[in-house]
Amino acid sequence: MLICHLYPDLMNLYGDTGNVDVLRSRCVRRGIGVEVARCGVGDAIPDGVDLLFVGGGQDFDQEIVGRDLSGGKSDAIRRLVDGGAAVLAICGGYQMLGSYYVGADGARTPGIGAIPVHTVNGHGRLVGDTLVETSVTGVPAKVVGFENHGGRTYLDGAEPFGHVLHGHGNNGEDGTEGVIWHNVIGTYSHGPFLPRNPGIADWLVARALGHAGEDAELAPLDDGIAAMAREQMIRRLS
Amino acid sequence: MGRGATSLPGSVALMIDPDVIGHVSCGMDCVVVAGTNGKTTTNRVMHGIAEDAFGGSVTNASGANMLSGIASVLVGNSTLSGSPRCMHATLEVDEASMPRVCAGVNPRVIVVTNVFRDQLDRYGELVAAVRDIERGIAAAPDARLVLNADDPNTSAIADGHANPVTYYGLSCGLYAAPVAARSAEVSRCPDCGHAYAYDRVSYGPIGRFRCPVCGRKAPDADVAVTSITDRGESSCTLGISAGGRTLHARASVPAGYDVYNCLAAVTAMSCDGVDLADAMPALSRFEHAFGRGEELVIGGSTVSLTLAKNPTGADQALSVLTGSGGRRGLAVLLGDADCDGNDVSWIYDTAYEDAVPHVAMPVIAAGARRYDMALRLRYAGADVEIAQDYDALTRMIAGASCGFDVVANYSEMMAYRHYLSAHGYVREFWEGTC
Repeated sequence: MLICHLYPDLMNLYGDTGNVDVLRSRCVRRGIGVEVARCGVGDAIPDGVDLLFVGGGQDFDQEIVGRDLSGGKSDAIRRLVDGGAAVLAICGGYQMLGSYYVGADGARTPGIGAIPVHTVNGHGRLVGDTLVETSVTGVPAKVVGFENHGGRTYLDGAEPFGHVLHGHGNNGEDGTEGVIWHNVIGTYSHGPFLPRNPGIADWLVARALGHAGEDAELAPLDDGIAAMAREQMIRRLS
Repeated sequence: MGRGATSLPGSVALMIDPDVIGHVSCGMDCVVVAGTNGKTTTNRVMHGIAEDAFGGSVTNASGANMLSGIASVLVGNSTLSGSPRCMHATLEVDEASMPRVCAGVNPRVIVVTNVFRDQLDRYGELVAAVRDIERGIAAAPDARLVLNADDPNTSAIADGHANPVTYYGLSCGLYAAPVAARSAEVSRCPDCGHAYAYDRVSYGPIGRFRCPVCGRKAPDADVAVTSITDRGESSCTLGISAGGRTLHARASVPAGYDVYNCLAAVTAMSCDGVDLADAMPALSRFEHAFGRGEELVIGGSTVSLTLAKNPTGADQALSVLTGSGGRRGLAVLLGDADCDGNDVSWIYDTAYEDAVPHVAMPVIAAGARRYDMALRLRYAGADVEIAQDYDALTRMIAGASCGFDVVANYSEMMAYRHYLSAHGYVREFWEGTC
């Protein structure tokens, strides 16, 4: 299984790398062969990617990323999404996968156009712990996160990743958080989203294995500490 | 917060007179230090130098570095008629308070230690912290800026201001062996956007950087550490050069990030009129502030308490531990109070992986967010034990009977130190420092 970490240097503002460590570790512990390819500015998306991860970044960094994407990388990412690869896109990476971003000056910056969402710069940042209910894995589950974003994202026909029980979510208005589109999860739960929500990590691993043409049942792992960390936040936020 | 940090009188004074800081500091010679890490250490060294040179100086040593804390210190220094008693002050200032503090005290010198990722949920992003410091500088156009030449974020602050600037930096290796950049923070050239290359890394993003494309590089240091010798566990000898003269002094810090803080303090005070030779002796007399490399005995263990509130600080705290030779115990305390920033994501940018092999197992996770810390340590490959409260933590440390490092972020350091004090292990903070 090949994981591609897109812009690991530029789009890694809040411990986003932790998500890749979790994905890799959960494969290794189950004996699933896994490789992580780092794909930075100037690098092409490698062949055979089963799972793409992209995190958040600062505004300045995202300008550099915008220039880099215009060189054919956007097409490669759209092909991955349409071809059923698993994708986790967080915060700035989530916005970047969408159709466009409207900046503070009203200017419209095109995104990759891989998922039907758009983002509008808003007044004030939406910051804090989040508690979201999602049925992505087939059973309703509560996931915890931390959001910190200025952009407001709106879904243009796609299903949300979940519904906000605590926090702001996509835009602070419609109660939705994130997006699910093909095998893509986009979310504003920044940084280390997967350590505390191993069910979501395993959903991504399963989808990535499916994309790789393997039909492996995932052996259960001991997630006791993750459950305690999640329970603590659920108690606090409920 | 607030135990030993006396900000209440300042809050009251600010309510009565919003410009109280300006009124009670009128005519004073103030040196202000800002930056993400190292403010307290730098300020303590500056205070020591100022006491030697001026016979007295007021300071906010207790880490009360927001507007109200600084107002308290300055009001406390004023006579009933509102004029200052002691005419010199060294002040550490939180970034967000920089604009109002600088407008009030009209500092003679503003020293910036570094700008790392810290408390991101409070400031939105890294550049906002820089912006607040710059707004403080804009409010003090006559102040001399003392900037870390080796920090890409800090040295670039000079770009937008007409203030006179003095740079400090290292012209030798900080550690005995060469280091590679570790923290996830990427520094890029603000002129052309390319990633900086390093001729020498001190730690994290700090070092002799240069842009391979446009040629922008770390400015030459006006005051430089040119040699670090006799490297001990808690001290080293620094050679400091300025204006063609090199002087040597023993500093009560190990060769690590605190060398930059010592250098920042010496540079700032020499810009405040103190001769280099008169500034150096204070380096050996300096004692760490609470929870910053402090040592104490708990049961059979000799414990070192270190504050680490962001990835760069935590990586540095852990590198001291891994560089100390024998295997030691490690407890990591993580809290998420407002003063820490509520977002604990940064623990995933810290390389606990590098420390784990050097630690006597298991690593203890404690504090308000102990489960998140335990989870992070597990993914770093550690065996983890969770201490449910400070009683359990203290029992585990006491029973280990070995050298022990306790690394905590701000709220947990305050709270655990208070606990230890209440149980007779350490003096209460204000007794020691105020």
